[in-house]
Amino acid sequence: MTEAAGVVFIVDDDPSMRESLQNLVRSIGLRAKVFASAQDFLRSPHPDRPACLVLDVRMPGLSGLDLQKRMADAGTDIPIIFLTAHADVPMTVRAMKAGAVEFLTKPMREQDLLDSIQQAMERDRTASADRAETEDLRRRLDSLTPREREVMQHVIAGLLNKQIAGELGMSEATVKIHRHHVMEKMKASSVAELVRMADRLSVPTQKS
Amino acid sequence: LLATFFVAVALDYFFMDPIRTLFFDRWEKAVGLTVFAAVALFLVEFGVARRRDERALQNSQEWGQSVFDLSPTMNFAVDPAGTILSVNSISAEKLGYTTEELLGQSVMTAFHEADRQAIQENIARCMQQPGRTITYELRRLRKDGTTLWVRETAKAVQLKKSQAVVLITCEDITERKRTEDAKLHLAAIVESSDDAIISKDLQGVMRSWNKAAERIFGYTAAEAVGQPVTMLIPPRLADEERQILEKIRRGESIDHYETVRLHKEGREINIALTVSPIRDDAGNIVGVSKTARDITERKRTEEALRKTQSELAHVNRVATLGELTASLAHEINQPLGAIVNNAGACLRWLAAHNIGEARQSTEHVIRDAHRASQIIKRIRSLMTKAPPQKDWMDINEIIGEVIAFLRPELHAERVGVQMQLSDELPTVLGDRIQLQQVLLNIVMNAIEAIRGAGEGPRTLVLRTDKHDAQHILVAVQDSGPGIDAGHLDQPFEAFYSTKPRGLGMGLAISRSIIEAHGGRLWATANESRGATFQFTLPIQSEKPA
Repeated sequence: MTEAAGVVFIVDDDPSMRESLQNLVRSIGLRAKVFASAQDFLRSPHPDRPACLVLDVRMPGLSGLDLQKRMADAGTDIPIIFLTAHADVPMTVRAMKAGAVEFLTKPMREQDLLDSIQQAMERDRTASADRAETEDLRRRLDSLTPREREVMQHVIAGLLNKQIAGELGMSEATVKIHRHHVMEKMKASSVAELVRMADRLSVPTQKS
Repeated sequence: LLATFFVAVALDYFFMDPIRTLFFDRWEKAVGLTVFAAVALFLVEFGVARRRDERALQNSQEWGQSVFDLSPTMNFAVDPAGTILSVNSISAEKLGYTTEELLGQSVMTAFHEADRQAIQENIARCMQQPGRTITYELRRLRKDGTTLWVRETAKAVQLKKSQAVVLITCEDITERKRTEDAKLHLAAIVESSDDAIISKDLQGVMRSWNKAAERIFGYTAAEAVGQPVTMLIPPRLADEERQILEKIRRGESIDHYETVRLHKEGREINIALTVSPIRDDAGNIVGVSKTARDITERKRTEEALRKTQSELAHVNRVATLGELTASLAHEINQPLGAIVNNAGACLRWLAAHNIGEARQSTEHVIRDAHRASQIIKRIRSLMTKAPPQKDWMDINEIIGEVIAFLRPELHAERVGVQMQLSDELPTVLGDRIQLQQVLLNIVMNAIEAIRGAGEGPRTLVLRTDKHDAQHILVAVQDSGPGIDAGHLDQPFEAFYSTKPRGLGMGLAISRSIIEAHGGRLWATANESRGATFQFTLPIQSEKPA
């Protein structure tokens, strides 16, 4: 693997643990960036992708779980691998529900950690592609006029042109023109594809 | 008689032939005259002697009567039936009667009811052996009904052939009896005392020995009195007795001095001694009184109590460590995890032939392994079940140890610790492990309180200071929710706990530990928020030998 393969962020308050994690990550050819606290991590920019976060649960100040929540609130979706010395079930459930990749109990088999890191990297890579696609779709959606958007919502609800015309108080011909623009701007080859796109972007359907 | 004699001579002179001549013509006449003269002489002599005797008798009676009357002792003369024939004024006065009231009365009326039989018997005894003196002590009865202790001497005398009287002299010994009673009373107290009470002279020779002394030391009074007190003292403490005697000679007392003495069987007994000087009327120290209390049982109880307390403290300590499992596991797993990581990394560096990185990884493995063993050592030292043992120690040092131990817990709970430790504290005498335990309990409770407080500052202040001239103070102040002023004692009750897993014994045990150290543990509510748990420990003035 190359350095371009990604970066592993490590947040642990224990210096020797931090250092050993960094050493391990480096030994498989990945880049590692270490932080002594959750606050330190939040303060620093981390644009590098793909990435994953190896996070200690029990830390003074912000705990690992607190950091997970903060990141979710901020829309930062770096996959997280939790490390803990003493896991309890509720804590694990909470972390996994919030989207953690793995929850490992220290001392873990180092191969388990490395596997989790690879898995997390893969997930982030996929997520990155997903994200790029969604962003493209979002841009297409944003290019629609309000009227076109209205028409689209009715189309994906499965209404016929005639029905849409009635709903929106316009002629059937006008609906057809709007509909054509929608399909063109969204680069949708069929209504089915348009529905999928709308679903992905969470566009609400307009039912009568 | 004289006249008769002269008449006879004259008759002879004038009427015997020849007239006015003393001429004995016949020897019969001479014999007759001689007989006559002898008879006359005898008669005269007889009369004179009689008169002299009569006068002498009269004199002696008068003298006796005045002695009888004037004597400061009470005198009675009674007939064999006990009727008072004569009594002096002192008697009447002492008994509250007039002489007239007593004369002719039975002497019984002036005796205590319980002694009437005895006096009757005594009078009878006198009568049986006239002239013999008997002495006895009895109770007289005053006219007003009060009693009077008397010592009486009685003797029967034959006044005339027909009449014998019993003379009784009687001395008031009420005062003496009272003193004697008081002495008996005191002696009874001494005898019935549970403590050995021994007196000895200034040379250390024992002079008295009570029952308790016999019970405690095993010697009877006969075996002990007259012996040197050193027979009770273990040879290694011989110097102690000398010091005690010196102190006593200076007029000082020794109060409740705990030491060891020897039983007759040779075993040692723990006793508490109180020694004070005995003075004579002039205030000179003439001896020593020693009170020894057997405290073997008390010592044993104390020992047992200390042991129980230590066991309890151990249970509490283990329970505390149970509560700390999470943070202890975290603490110990940190270096273990690092070891695994570094060793794993090392293998991979070796596979990549990166010897430099591999070497460094190995060095880290060694370092982390050392750290792990240090942590285990620390936990062990707090888990140790050591017998109670008092040592001189710096309380600040103990605080440091406990905080170091609780660092992961404090860390995890994000509690900031402020140390305000005085560096002018004397060392105190105490059981290190028990005091660690007390601090552990208090700080754990403080952490618990802070955890429950939710938002707000999360601080713990540890303060040491001099409390007063005799005590140092250790205070642990938390920023938890605090305690209602009315319930400041509640946390100290056994089985009181706010923790779901708490034993509720921590503070109760802590308080008993502190009290066993001669200190006090209490809680106060802080002005702003939280509570302060604080305890005092006595500063010992002198280090024990």
